[in-house]
Amino acid sequence: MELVGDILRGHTDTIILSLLEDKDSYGYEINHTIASSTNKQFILTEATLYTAFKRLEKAGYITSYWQDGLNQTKRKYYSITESGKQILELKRENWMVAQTILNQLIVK
Amino acid sequence: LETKIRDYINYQFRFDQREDIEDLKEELIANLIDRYQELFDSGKTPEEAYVTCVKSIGDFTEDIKDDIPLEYSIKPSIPDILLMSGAILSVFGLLITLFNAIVGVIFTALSILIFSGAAYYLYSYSQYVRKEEMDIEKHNLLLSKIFKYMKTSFIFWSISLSIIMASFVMNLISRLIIIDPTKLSFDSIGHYIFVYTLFFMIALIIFLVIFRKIYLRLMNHYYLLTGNNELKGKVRESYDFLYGEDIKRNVRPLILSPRFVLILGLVLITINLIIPFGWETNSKSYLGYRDQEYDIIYILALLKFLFSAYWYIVILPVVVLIVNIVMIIRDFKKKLKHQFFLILGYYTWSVSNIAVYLMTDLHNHLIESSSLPVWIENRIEPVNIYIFNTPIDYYSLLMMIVLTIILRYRKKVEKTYLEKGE
Repeated sequence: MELVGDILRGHTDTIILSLLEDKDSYGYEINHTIASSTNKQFILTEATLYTAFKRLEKAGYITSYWQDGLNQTKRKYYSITESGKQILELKRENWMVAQTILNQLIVK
Repeated sequence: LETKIRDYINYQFRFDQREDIEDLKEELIANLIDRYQELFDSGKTPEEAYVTCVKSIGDFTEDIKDDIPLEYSIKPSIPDILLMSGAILSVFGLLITLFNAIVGVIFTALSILIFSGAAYYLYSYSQYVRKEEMDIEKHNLLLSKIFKYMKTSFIFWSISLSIIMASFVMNLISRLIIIDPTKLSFDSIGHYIFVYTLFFMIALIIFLVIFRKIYLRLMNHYYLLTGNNELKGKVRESYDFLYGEDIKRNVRPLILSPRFVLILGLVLITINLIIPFGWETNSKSYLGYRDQEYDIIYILALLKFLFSAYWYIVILPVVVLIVNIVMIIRDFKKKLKHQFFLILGYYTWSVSNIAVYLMTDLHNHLIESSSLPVWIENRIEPVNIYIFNTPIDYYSLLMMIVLTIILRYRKKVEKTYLEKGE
């Protein structure tokens, strides 16, 4: 599982972007979605998540805004930008190619 | 609970200097509270939920440097501690030697024993590591540990051993004196101190040279074993830790700094002035059978001295002394460019002492010849000039010459520094 985590972590940005494509979201919800859709096999730490957000925001792929949530807490919502969508599309294509190559090389 | 999480987050980021740190913390706290809520709802106890929550934060501190020196990458063992204890014992050995030579001998011997034992262990262990584990980094580290406290220990050992040797020699001499006091004797504490200091200096130089030879040989051996030429002792390391490493390039050896030279001069003059005051000696005193009147309270002696009739004789040295003090204070406030004058001042001190000696002769001669008017004759008395006529004078004159040489040497070093463009 450790090694799988390492492979997956390389694609954190793509995963986040693809989740944000559906709807705007905040940190915990994203992590929750990742956890539940992978049957709790893959959970990001706050640090990983936050650094990824930072990186993406700096590159201009996502924007953020504050919104009041439950429990009188403020939540930072992230939404994907146009350039973010473009890069996501590119990354998807890349992944498909990479997947095929890796399958050819590794799976026998 | 929110405060608990908030406190924890604040604690974790207490040193974080990032600009957006408040935003980050706020976001993090919101996320953690949500996670906590879910964990709590799924049936965990509050404590379990909190711990799981906090564990999920992960590591934000990757960009904060938190490196531990290489020195500590090996589990410390008893020889490491012994090595350090040996170094500390060497310092205490010196202190104790000053009070009691015999206990000092025991302490110094113990210090050397502990140090060399620990050093040998580290050496043989390093060879073992190289042969069996082939871990060169560990091997080098073990060897460098030996050198960590070596310089400090060596210096203190040589001082202690010199004192011990000087005491030993003086002891021998005093035995000879007891056998035949007519052949050999010290008439004053001044002579005693002079001879003692002489032996001490000789022994110190010999020991320092020996230890330096040993150190250089060991360094060479270390270089051959590891190929590493740069070694920092613990003192240097602590100094760098306190003041930063960049400063060290400007630091010259202490003994070559002008201030050190100046203060040493002042200290010598003060010793020169005080010691003869303190120990007024009867002329008959043999080593081991000291028979002096100790004038412990210097102030009283000084007053007595000032109110006596011959105070004018010493006006010259006192003026020189005051001028020297003023110049040193000025040197501290604003750097004097010509330390030459200060050195000149010190020489004047020595010369003035000699002058006083001659003046006293004249003074006594005048009294004896009784060619003075009565009103003067009543007020003056023959001067017993033990105050300046001590071997310490010659010793301090010698030191002045040494100081000048040091200062000249320092200038030469400075010049070469400048020429190199450093």
